[in-house]
Order: sequence, then structure tokens, then C-alpha cells
Amino acid sequence: MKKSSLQLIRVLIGAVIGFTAALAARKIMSGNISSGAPGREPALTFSSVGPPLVHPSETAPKALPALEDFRKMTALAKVNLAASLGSLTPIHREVFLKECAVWPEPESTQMLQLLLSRWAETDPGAAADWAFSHLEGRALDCFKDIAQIWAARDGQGLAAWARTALNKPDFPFAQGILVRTPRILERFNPVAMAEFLEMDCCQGFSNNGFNFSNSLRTPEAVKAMASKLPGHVEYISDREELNRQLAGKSPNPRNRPSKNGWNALFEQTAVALHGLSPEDCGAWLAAFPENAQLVARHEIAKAAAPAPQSRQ
Amino acid sequence: MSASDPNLTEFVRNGSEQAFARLLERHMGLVYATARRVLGAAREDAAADVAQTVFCQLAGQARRLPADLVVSVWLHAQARRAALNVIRSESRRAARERTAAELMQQNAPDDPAEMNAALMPHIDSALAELSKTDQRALALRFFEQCPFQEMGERLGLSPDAARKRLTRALETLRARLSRRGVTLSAAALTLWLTDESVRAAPASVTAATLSAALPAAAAATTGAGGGGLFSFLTIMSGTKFLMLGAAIGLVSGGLWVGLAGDSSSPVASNSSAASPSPAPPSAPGGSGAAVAQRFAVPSPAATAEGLLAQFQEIIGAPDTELNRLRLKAWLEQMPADLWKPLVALADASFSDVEKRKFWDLASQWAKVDPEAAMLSFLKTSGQPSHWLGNEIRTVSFGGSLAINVFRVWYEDTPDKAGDWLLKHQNDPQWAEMLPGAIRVIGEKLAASSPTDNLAWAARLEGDELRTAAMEAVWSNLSREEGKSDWSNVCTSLLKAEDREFGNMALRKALRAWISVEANGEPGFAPAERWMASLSSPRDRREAAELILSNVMQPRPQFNSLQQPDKALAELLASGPETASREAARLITEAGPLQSGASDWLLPLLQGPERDPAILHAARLLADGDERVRFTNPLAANPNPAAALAWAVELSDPAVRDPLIRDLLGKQLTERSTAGQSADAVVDWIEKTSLAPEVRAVLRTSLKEFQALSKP
Repeated sequence: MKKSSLQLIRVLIGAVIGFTAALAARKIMSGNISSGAPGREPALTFSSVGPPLVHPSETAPKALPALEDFRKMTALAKVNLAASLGSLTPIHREVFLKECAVWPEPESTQMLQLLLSRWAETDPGAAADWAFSHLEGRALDCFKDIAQIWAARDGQGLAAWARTALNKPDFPFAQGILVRTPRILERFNPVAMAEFLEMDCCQGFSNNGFNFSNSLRTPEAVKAMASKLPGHVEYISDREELNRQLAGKSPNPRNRPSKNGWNALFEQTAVALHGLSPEDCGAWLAAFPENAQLVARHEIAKAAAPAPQSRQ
Repeated sequence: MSASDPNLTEFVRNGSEQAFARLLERHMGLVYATARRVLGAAREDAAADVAQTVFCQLAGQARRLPADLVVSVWLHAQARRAALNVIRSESRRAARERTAAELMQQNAPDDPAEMNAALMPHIDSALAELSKTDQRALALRFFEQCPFQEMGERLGLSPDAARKRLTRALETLRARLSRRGVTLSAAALTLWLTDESVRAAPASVTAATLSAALPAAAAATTGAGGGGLFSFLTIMSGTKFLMLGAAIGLVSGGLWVGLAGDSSSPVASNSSAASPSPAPPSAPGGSGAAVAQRFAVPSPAATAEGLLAQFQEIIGAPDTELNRLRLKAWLEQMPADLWKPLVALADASFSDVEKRKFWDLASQWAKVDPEAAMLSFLKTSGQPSHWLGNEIRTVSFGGSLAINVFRVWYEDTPDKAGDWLLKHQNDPQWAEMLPGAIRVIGEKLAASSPTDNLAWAARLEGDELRTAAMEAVWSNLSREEGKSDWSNVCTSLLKAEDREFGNMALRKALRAWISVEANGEPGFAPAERWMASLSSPRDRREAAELILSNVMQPRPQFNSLQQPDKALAELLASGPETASREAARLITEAGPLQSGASDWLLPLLQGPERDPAILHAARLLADGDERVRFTNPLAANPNPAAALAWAVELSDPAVRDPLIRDLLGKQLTERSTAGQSADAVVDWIEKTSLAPEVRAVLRTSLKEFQALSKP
């Protein structure tokens, strides 16, 4: 074959390849092939019955959005961005975190929270450690997001991490962690909270009341919680002092009969169980010490006559 | 050839892999041992590499080797040479690294963390600006850790050309960074890239990379039409012509689809709109459905009850930034007519804790229909009330939400919101939120220009609204950087055409000004200097009266021992009668009264104004003013001791003596406020300069009281 013919053939082959590539590109851009690119918002229609879903992209962004672009994003675009952040490689995540850490507020903390909470879905301990070693004053804001995700999935893991953190000498965020961790566990994993409060690191924790309503919403949840409590409840044995406290005549109004989270959980579970079935509740209470039964009945009676102003 | 080794002969003739394996097995010990001797016992890895290199050379050169070659001798020589090359290469690299390290020490910031901090924000954007060729060279060298040989192969260059390409890329990157203010030597940059690009790469990275790369590689293989096309293209050595053809194809293909696309796009968009949404793909960290659920933003339901259920579902999720964004996205979709029923239902059924999310509602509804939002929120219930501003005002939960709506509205369209406020300033249905809304505007205007703020305040009606409008001005001026503007603001108020507004505002301004003590001097001192600088006697007099009236007002930070001498002198300059009259007027108009004011006001009083003014002052101090409990606790409590100091100056015994007895009794009993012990009172009676008849009244009253109080 002559050389010029060979060259012509090569040019023709190249042209065919190029033409095919152009067609493929057009097909992708027209949406027939899902590109999965972040930032492209799905159409939202109000007439639809089901919820329109933001499609989490499998493609992680190659670079952090420019600050100005981030500022202009709608909330939906930011939710989309958060969806795509789950695929970041550790190196990219590190670079993103460091870049947005120097943004001005409030964008900086917002972006940090999105990045760290996505990280927390796979490795919450690493995300929390990163926050406390890099973010100083903003670390606790980010920790709140991380800890909520963590507590919802693995309350005991969060409690163990918090214990390690609280036992670090001169850890500047100890008080913040001590205040936040039980509050977050209280909402998502009361048993983990009760166990956490029994740890030596929580000696300095003071509390004016717990609210486990989030974990006692359904009959199944109440019954499951009730089954976990025997063996953990312990009230003061001095009957007279207990009566004084129940009557609100204790010298120190903060000296509640609840010695810890277990007792508070017991009281609220008793109220919830009584609401479901007084008979079942009576049978369940019989397994507890007499002074515990006394407190539980006191709480049940109080709940039956709520304060007039309360709308809870 | 007829090599001395039959295995090599067979390999050359038939390409027998088994023959080569036997050859390798036979001589591997020799080659490996030679390399190990040259490299040292500690370099077993490198020795293995040398052995591999040598046998590769043997395979590559077998056909060209002489017929009488003694394989073992050739292998020994090659092994020794390769090992020596390794040593030379490593010593050269070590020398380069030493040099680079030295250069880095000279150029780099002392602290590696500082260097990281300098480079991190810029490195990726600078890399992105490089040409693709430079990016590829840097990526191969630093991210893939390729030696120059491999770099050259992958870039289609010789190793030397690859090295030069890398040097140029580094230099370009350094220049880009330099433009961003990050100055580093190429050596320092090289070392940083070498270190940083591989530093944070734990095993999880490898796993993640593999999981990402393998499917992509598989797709690339199949997408390219399999091995057939790939082989065909490989065979095509004339890459220039292939590239030319590809370029022609791309251009022509682009033109064709561009033309076709114009006519077909409506169809495409229609079909896209008509087709149902594709199922969400799975994403890392969970199943597709679970991930989709986490990022789902429901569209508002058609009924208010449905809305409420969605709202409760969203706010029941963990309170993370992501879920706050989900809520915001949901609210952004809310049709205008659904806001009102949602808020009404939520107000009726939500607990106070849940109502905290009304803040999000307020911010979003403000963008849709601010007036309706304000009106609805004003009607909502909820605890607690909120403090508002410096003055003592509280506003209900609903009122604070309405103010927040106004804030968003004003930030969005300030002219429209400002006009609305001026128009509705006398409408009682907005009364609760008006001061707060006015503060919103005041804060914005005061930040840019205090005089603009004051001009705007003058357009409002009534002292309460005007005061709310100006609070931000005083707050800003009280800060360190604004102090120099006090005199300008006060002068402009002195010259305001609307004298009613000017006087009111100037009084407020001076009150705020003299509350700021600085450099150990009382707060009124700079105000007095400003007064003295005024050229018009009338202005000075007016300013003096305002200063005095403000100094008379008790405040915790005010030092009562100091006298406003310049203001007093200005008042006295108008003549003793006028001064007395003005002093009496100041006292009767004072409201709360500074307890030490007797020291400098009493000498001014004379004639018929004297006794009424003194009596008024004594009663003010004796009673206190409960209305100012929160803003001015000093004036809120009765102060019988200070009242007594005034009462003893009364000239009419019929008025004076009963008052003295009354005040003395209060002084001795009200120990919780300003009461004193009997000894202290006796001490005061004996040491204070008093008229003899007054002293006698005091002694008698004291004895009577002590006799009465004995058990």
C-alpha cells in the first residue's frame, strides 16, 4: 500500500472516531444518559404525590465550590452538594476541609458541617478528631452534627469516644463534650446515655431533667425500653428522705430522687407504659424495688394532671 | 546463534517459556547473589529488582547475543552492572534530595504547618490552571510516584524528556503560586509535593481508589470496543494522522449534532419532562433507597394536614446542617397559599420546643409574602418573650418572629420595607413589632452613616419610635472607634430644624455620651468640652442644661463626687436668678435623681423656687422610681439618706420637721436599701454642717425612734 493511501485511511479512521465521540457527548448532554453530575437540580413539581428525591450523585466534586458559587446556591443545591460529598477520597476531603476552614462565616462552618457529617457516616470518630484538632471554636458546632449522626447509629461508640476525649488531660473542649454528649444520646439512644453517665468521666455532669420522648414515641419502643431497665434502677434507700424529696420539701430542690439517667429513663418509661396499659405497667413495676415503684407511681400521678400552662 | 546453554537455544528458536523458566531457575542464584554482594545484604529488595531487570534484558536481547556466549558470564556481568547502576542512581537521588532539603531550608517557611497553611488553599486551584500536559506530568510523578522511565513511557517521551517536562511543569506551578502570594523554590515545592501528595494515604484510600478505578477501567475497556479496536489503534503508528482525523471528526460531528439539536431540542425536553424520574442510584455509605431518603426533600402536600405531617417529619430528624438545608429547601418550594394554614395549624399543635423551627419558617415566608407573614406570626402564641434593644422592652415570641420577617424583607428590598414601615407606624395592629422593626433599619443606617439614621428617625412620629430608631447610633458611637463622632452628631442635632426632635435626640445623645467613661475622666467631661467649643451662647446654654439634666440622672457607672463644672459655670453665667430658676426646673423635670446632685444643685437654688425644688428632690429620692427598676436600679430604690440631705435644707419648719422625722425613720429601718445604723446617723448629725434647729429636730427624732424601737 502506498504511503499516502495509508495516511488517508488513518485520517478517515480518526474522523469516524471523532464523529462518534461528538454524538456520544451530545447524547450525554441531552440527559438520555445520566451523567450524575452534581449541581444539576431535579425538577420539582408540586402536583406529584410522592416526594421528589434529590438524586445523590456517585461522582464526587473534583474541587470545592468557589465561595461565591456556594453563597449563591439554593438550599436544594446544597443538599445535592452534600449528597455528592459522600464519595470524596480522604485526600480530597482533607483538602476540601482545609480550604473551607478559611472561608468567612457563616459559609465556612456550614460547609465544614456538611463535609464532616458526611464523613461521620463512615468514620465519625475520625471526623470528630479532625474537628477538634483543626477547628478550635467551631469544633463544638461541628461536633453537634457529627454526634447526632453517630448517636443515631452507634450510641455506645459515641459514648466510648467521648469518654476517651474527656479523659485527655487539659483537653479544652471537655466541658462542651460533657454537656453535649448526654443531651444528644438522650434523644437518640437513652440506654447509651445512661451507661455514659455512669462512667467516671461524667462526675461533673449536672442535669435538671431528661426528656426521652423521642425514644418513647411508639408502643414497641416503650416496651423494648421497659425490657432493658431491670437491674439498672436504684433509688435512695432512706424512705423518709425519699418521701421528702417526692413531696418537694428537700432542702435542695435540685436534689432529685433520680440518681442518674437510668432512673430518669425508668420514670418516663413507666409513665409511657402506663399510658399504653396500666395493667402491664403494674406487672412490670412489680419487678422493681419498692422505693422505685413508689417514685414511678408518683411520676404517673403527676403526668395524669399536667400543669395548666404546659403544651408539651 | 548457538549458545552454550541449550535452554537459551530453545528459547531463541521456539520462544519456549518453559525453556526460559528453566534458564531462570538455573541462573537465578548466580544473578541474585551477585546483585546482593554489590548492593549489600540489607538491600534484598533491590537485589530482586536487579535480578528481574537482568533476566528481562536477557529475554529482550537473546536473539542478538553471540553464538558462543557463556550465559553465566554474561548474566554475572549484567547483574554487576545493573547493581552498580542502582547504587549510582540512589546516590545521585540522595544528593539531589540533600540539595533540595537545603534549598527548602533556605526558602521555606520555618514551620511545616505554616507551609501547609500557605499552600493548601491555593495548590489545587493553581494545579487546575496548568495545561493538561503539565498536570499529567505532575500527577504521574507525585501522585503515582512514577520513575522517569515509566513517566516517559506513559507520556510518549524519553526519560530525559519526561524529566524536562516535569521541571517545566514545576516551574509553571511555582509561578502560579507566586501570583497568589506563595513564594517557594522549585526544590521546596518538589519536596512538599512529594511529601504531601502521599502523606495522607491510608489503606482506606487504596481501597477507595481500587473500588473507583476498577469499574472505570472495565468500562473503559468495554467502551473502547474491546481488545480488537484497542489492538488496531495500537498498530496504527501514525498518530499524527489519526489525531488529525479525530479532530476533523469531532468538528464535523459537533456541527452535525449542533444543527440537529436545534430542531430536536423541544422534543428532547418534552420527553424528558414527561418521563418519570429515574430511580436514585446507589451511593457510597448505604443502599440507594437509604441514601435517597437522607437527601430527599419532599414536595409540599396539597393539604395543610399533609404539610404539617411533612413539617413534623423534617424537624423530627437530627438537627444537623444537612437537615436544616432540607427544611429550607422544602420551605423554598412552598406555594404562597399554603403558608398561612401551615403556620396556623403548627401554632395550634406544636409544643414550644417545636415552635423554635418557626424561625426557619419566618425567614423563608418573608421572601414570599412578608406582610402576611408578619401578621400571621404576630398572632401566634409561644414562649418565651424576647428582650429588645437597650431600652427596657420585651416582645412576644410571635412579635420577635414578625420582626425577623421584617429584617429579611428589609435586607431584600430596603426601600419597599422602609416605606411600608413609615406608612404603618401609627397602625395599632403592628404596634408590638414596630420598635423592633425600626431598630432593624436603625442598625443598618447607623452602620453606614449616623446622620442618615438621625434624618430617618426624624421622619418617625413619637418619642418611642424615634428612640428605637436612634439606639443603634448611640451604640455605635459608644464603641472606641466612633467616639470622635459624638461632637459632630450632637452639633448636627443642635442645629436640627425640628427643634422638638432635635432636643429629644440631643438629650438622648448626651445621655449616652456621658455614660461612656474613658481614660479615668467622667463621661460628661468630653461633652462639656464640646459644649465649651460652641460659638453661640444660646447653644452653649442649651447644651449645658442638657448635660446637667443628664448628669442628674443616676446611673451605676457615674461617679457622683465629680461635678459638671463647665456646665454649672455656663448656667451661672446667665445670672443667679436665671440659674436658680433653671436649677429648679431641672429638678422638677428630672424624674429619677442622682443622690450626689445636692452638692452642686443646692447652691444654685434661691428665692421662691428653692423650697419647692428641694421638697421635690427629697420626695424623688425618698420614694425611688419603680418604673426604672431594670434600666436604672440606683434610681428605682428609695434612698432616705440622700433625701434627708435635701430635706434638712428646707426653710419652712412645718414642712421640714415632719419630713425629717419620716426620712430618719425610713433610714433606720430600711436597711435592705439605703438604711443606716443609728450610730452612723448620729455620726452624720454631729459632723454635718447643719442649722442648730435642724440638728435639734434630728436628735429629738432619733431619740423618739430609739425609744419606740426598744422591746
